Amino acid sequence: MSEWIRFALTAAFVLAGLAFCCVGVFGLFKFKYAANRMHAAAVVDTMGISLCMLGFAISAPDLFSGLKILLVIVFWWLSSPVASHLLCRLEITTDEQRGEYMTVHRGTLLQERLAEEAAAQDETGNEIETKEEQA
Amino acid sequence: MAKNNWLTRMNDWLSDEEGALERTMEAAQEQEAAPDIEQLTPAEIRWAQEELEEEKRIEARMKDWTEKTASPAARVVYNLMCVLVCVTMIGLLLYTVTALPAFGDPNHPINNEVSARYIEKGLQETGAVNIVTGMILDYRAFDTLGESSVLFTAAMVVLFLLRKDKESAKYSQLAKAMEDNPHSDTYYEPKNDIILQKTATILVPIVLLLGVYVVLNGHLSPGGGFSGGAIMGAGLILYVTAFGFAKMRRFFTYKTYQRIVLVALLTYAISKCYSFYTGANHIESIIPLGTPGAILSSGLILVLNICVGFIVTCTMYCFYAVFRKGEL
Amino acid sequence: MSIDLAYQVLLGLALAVLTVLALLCLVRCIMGPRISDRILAINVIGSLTVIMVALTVLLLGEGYLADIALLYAMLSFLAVILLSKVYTGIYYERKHEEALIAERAKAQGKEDAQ
Repeated sequence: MSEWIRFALTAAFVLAGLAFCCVGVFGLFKFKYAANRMHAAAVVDTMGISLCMLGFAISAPDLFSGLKILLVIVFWWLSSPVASHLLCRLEITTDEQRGEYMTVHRGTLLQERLAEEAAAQDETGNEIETKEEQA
Repeated sequence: MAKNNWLTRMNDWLSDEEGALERTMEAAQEQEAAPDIEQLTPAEIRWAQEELEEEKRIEARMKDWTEKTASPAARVVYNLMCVLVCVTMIGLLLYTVTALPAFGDPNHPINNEVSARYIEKGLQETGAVNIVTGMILDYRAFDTLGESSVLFTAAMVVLFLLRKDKESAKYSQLAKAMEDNPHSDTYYEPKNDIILQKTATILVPIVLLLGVYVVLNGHLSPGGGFSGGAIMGAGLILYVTAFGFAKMRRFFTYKTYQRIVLVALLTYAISKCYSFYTGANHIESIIPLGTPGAILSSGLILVLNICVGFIVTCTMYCFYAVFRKGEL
Repeated sequence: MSIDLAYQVLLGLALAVLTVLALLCLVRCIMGPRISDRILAINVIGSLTVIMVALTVLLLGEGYLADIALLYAMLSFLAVILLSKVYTGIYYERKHEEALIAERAKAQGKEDAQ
């Protein structure tokens, strides 16, 4: 009987986790911008993975491997936000049309400022040239 | 200077003395700060311009080529054929998989007298609970020495070809050009990201410990020198990504790499190369095999695992550093 | 219905669903208009693979596979942070080169004017 209770718990957790995974992957196609898609991906990284792992840990073959499966959750919860942070930094840096659909706090990134200066130089250089050509 | 003593520095780092981390981070920042865009020599400008022009020329040529040589209908056919070939290949491979014998099938061709002998006598002859490790580090230890040497040779060749030093600008035009223009993407990547650094402070020791666990338990559980070395190498790469090459060089330089790999390979070779002279015959070992399942058991396998682990770790980090930065 | 069969049905179903989801992520990875979309899809594929590897612990009943799940999680994390750092650096490098070109064009324009 206790075996069946364990199975029911596992099934409930795993199915819930899979549902969260499905929602996350659906969001990858639903949203339009990479920054929005990151929200959807975070669903898989947090609820999806932790519910599935909890389900697996409940009916793991022995205690030690169950604990190791739980360690995966800890590891993933530590590392995934950092990966998302760096990914978001990449997206904010490289997306030149981002001003059209989101607000970014400028001045926090020193290198961004440098690049913007360089870009401004580029623009002014081109402008001068085109004006001279027109004249 | 007492301040530069590595023991003092390690003590600072371990005791988390006020400002120790900040000091080292400032030093790293000074050494690896992004260059000022204002100060450019004409050579740099010329170099960058030539590179960009080359890229544009190649792009234009590729576009021309596709437009001139292929009609729209031909391109559609080409795309269709691409998909068709991929799908056919996947289907063929999947079909082949279904024709393979089932997992654990007793009539599988690999279940012959060789594996039967390894399974029956492996534990008693090598003392390793993990039969795979017993096989690759005892029965076929000579073969594994060759594998480690291949890794070492590969790392050496990559170092020959790609390593930058003071001399290389004399002989290679590319190295000279790179010296003239040091503004490669490694200089612009985000550095000293505080979030990544704090996470790496927690994660790197865990990852290295996991690697050490896998190496030391090689003869007891699945794993061993190769996989554990790969984990430790990944830990070192994580450290470098978070803290930068300047901080890494405080404890891992080219010299360290050389010494670790040489000592590990020589230890391995000395303990197993007698097969050269005995015609691949086994010599009676004087080292006791110990109780199976204990960590100090199975003779030389533990030592050999540690050697292989060191070699793989150093090779992985060496590949990463040389391909990314051109030096260790 | 025995407990083993129940486990096999549940885990097989979960494995099938995860495979389909991973394939969908691959589609996003190929379609993704920007490089960050692609890296994001790879990150999601990584987490789905970790779930799959942990699932095989139950399916095969072998505890050591949990080590591999941990390892895969680590490698996936490493891949994502490395790729994002490298591509940020490449973007800045390209910007810098464009700025250099503009500077040179400006200087040449001045010379021509003189």
